[in-house]
Amino acid sequence: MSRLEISNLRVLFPTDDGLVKATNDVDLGIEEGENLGLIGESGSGKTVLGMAILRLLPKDARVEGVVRFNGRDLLSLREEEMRRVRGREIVMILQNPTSALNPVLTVGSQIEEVLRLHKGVDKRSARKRVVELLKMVRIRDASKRVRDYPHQFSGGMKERAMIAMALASDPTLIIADEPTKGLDVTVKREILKLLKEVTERKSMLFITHDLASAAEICERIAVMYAGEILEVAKTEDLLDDPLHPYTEGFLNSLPSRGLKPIRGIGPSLIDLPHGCKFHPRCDHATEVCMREHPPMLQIEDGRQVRCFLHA
Amino acid sequence: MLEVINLDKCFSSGGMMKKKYIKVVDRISFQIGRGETFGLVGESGCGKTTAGKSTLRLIEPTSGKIVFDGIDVTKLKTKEMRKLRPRMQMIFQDPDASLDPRMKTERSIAEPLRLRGGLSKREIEERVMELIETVGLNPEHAHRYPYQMSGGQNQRVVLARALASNPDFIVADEPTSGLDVSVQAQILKLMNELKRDLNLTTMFITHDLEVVKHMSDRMAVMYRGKILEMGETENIFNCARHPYAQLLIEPQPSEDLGVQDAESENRNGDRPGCVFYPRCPFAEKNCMEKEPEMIKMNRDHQVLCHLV
Amino acid sequence: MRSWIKNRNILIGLIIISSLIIIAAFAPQVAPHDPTEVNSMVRLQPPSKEYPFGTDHMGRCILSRIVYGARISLLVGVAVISGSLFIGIVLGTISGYFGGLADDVIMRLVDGFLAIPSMFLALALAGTLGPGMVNLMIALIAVEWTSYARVVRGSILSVKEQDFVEATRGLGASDLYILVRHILPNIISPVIVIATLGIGYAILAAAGLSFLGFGVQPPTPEWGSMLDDGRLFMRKAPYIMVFPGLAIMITVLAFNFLGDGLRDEMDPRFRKEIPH
Repeated sequence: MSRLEISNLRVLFPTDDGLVKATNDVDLGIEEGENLGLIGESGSGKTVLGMAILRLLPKDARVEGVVRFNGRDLLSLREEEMRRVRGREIVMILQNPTSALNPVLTVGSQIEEVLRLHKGVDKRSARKRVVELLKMVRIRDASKRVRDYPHQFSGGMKERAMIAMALASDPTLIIADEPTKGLDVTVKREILKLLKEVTERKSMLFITHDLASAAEICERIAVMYAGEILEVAKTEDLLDDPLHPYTEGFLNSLPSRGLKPIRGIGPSLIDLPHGCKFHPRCDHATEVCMREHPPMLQIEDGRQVRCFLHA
Repeated sequence: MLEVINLDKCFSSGGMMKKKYIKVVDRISFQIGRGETFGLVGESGCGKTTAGKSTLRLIEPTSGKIVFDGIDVTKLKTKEMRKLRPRMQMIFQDPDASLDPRMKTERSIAEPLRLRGGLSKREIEERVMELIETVGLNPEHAHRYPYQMSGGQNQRVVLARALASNPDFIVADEPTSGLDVSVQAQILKLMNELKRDLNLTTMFITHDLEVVKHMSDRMAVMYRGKILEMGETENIFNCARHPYAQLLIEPQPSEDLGVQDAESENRNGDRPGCVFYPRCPFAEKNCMEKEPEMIKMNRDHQVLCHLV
Repeated sequence: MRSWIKNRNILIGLIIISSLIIIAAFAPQVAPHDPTEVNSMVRLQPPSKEYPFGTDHMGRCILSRIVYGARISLLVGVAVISGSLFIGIVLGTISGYFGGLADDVIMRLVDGFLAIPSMFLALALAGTLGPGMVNLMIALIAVEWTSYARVVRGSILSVKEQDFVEATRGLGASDLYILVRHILPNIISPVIVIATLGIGYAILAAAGLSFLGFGVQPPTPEWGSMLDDGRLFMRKAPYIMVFPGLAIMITVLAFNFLGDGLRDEMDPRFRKEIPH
């Protein structure tokens, strides 16, 4: 069963310079227990998508479409119903743990707050549970460190504490937005390992620009560009045999694959190109790519690609 | 081309009464040959940026000697140093912050030419347009402000500006870490081309091993202010000898090295022994007590470890 | 620049201030009477066609005095802020850019000035120096410059850490060049904002000191001293105080509007951002 089913999601921001089309007709599903990677460069709309699911976008954003979570359409819920979903059934792990933790409260009390708010646990058992959670995310001397303040934690430990906080309400879906950004190589590796472990029986939307990280913990990967999903595939398939020219170009520009760049730069979200959004940078573009917008094509076993080359 | 000997940089913190000294760069030595790219790799806080800036005397080294093209840079007076500066340029991590937000592209690129003097207005204009083309920008970009351009385009402006002063030596400090992958590839490719065409000597500072593998001829691995291993890039990737270098390079380390402890441990306590000792899976008693010496493995491969 | 005009605060502030400047500049043409002309026949007259704002206890036209008073108030406001700005920028720059001993000395000096309540300091100075417009301005500059020095120092500290400053030093540029070409242009926005707000404050403070008799001396028309003149006749002829009071209020408000508007437009923190 699909845990989350996004259909025709569109997010628009009115600005002084025009309407910013942050995401366009996104269709995406996450199965129960699945980790889905959402890969994209800056301006691709990946963060907006994550925030749109939880309805955390600024008030002037126009959001259209359906976000079905456990059978309910999140976009049509009333705000107080949404608040019960947020932080309890769906939690978000943000990219900057330093500002996500309140500097004047101890790490323990912040996790405790989540437990008492969403789980209705009394103070004593909450204390115990906090230590358990910190142990679960491998913080050494957890029973002592609960009384520490965020500044006494290193960057990696703060990220661990954020994960513990996310796990506190035992959510069914975790949205992680660049959780490893800014972490050192060795620390990053550990955090990814931990994330993979704790999401064993949960669904996760893992938003990142770092393909290697996503490949490590996600079963499937969706590639986003200029507000659209261009390709969805199993991780191995995507790495071994990318179908969309953008995916291929993205892979080739990785240092480990020879640093072959894609020419040009990403389009302005106000003035998107006609037809395929990628055609101005695409080496395989034909006349039809400039004229028509390619539909999402279903290739064998759940694989999808938005490109005329595979029609 | 460049020789750095026993470079030291301490920062002091705290008030007048209780000054604390923190050693950020700890007696590092290295050489870079003409036309060579030297990679300096390490995790955040290892002192690699400070090492780069000290090499150019953008911050004053505490002690040590830097010889650039036969000139002892550390002995130069402020005025002489200013004359030498155009020959050694630095490229910073954040392209948007490296440009004055109030200057258009053409003015930013023209600035080094104006500072050098001796060129007419026409000549400056021509040279600016030439540089704009060299770094792959369009003439229309000349009239834009940094906030009107993307990070990748701004990094091209930064490159053009650095090239405008005709440098022999460039220190690039994480020049692509804030950029998207596809743009990173564009910039790195451009840097490689420029290096080849202009025979530039480069010091490339990064935390990204894949990038350093691709960019540098020789490299050094830094940890807590010290160079732990140094040699030809290929050699180090094929057979790293230092346990820390192995940890960085190995995609799946076989042992849990207790990252948390190492990370939270503070660095100002002056312990004797090897800097990597607390995290080292192979540490022996000797490592805790005695500081290791640089050991030459072969002609150009050095390791700072008791165990090799 | 276009969006600045769209900002309502800026627009209102600019309209009022430019009207004031025009009135002050063409005072002889605008004022119906000679502001210093004493006429005992028309003492304490309520507003009428002849004297739209009425007359004071010496029979002088209040409207004319307010019109001429605008010259003094604007002059004092601008002069005090220019003087404070000059001292503040010079000392703040030395302190922020070069740091070290100079920074310590200048900042202790600022602390010293700030330790004394500003109105008290101005009063004490004005009292010591004696009454008069120049002394009034000196007293106010002594009070005002500290805030500029602090803002300039703070802004410089943050700008000088930015990469483009270091990059320019790397090109071989001198400190003076870096300061003039890169640092000062980048700190000028917050300084303009507080200077605009400061003009309003200076006008208010000058009026206050004049009200207490330390400022401009009679018979020169000045809003603060006009308030003082009207004090004794407040019950009988309230308009003697009301109109100069309104003039001060409107002028101060106009500068505050302008300053607030400029801050909103120049401070990136108030700009809208879109997540990506």
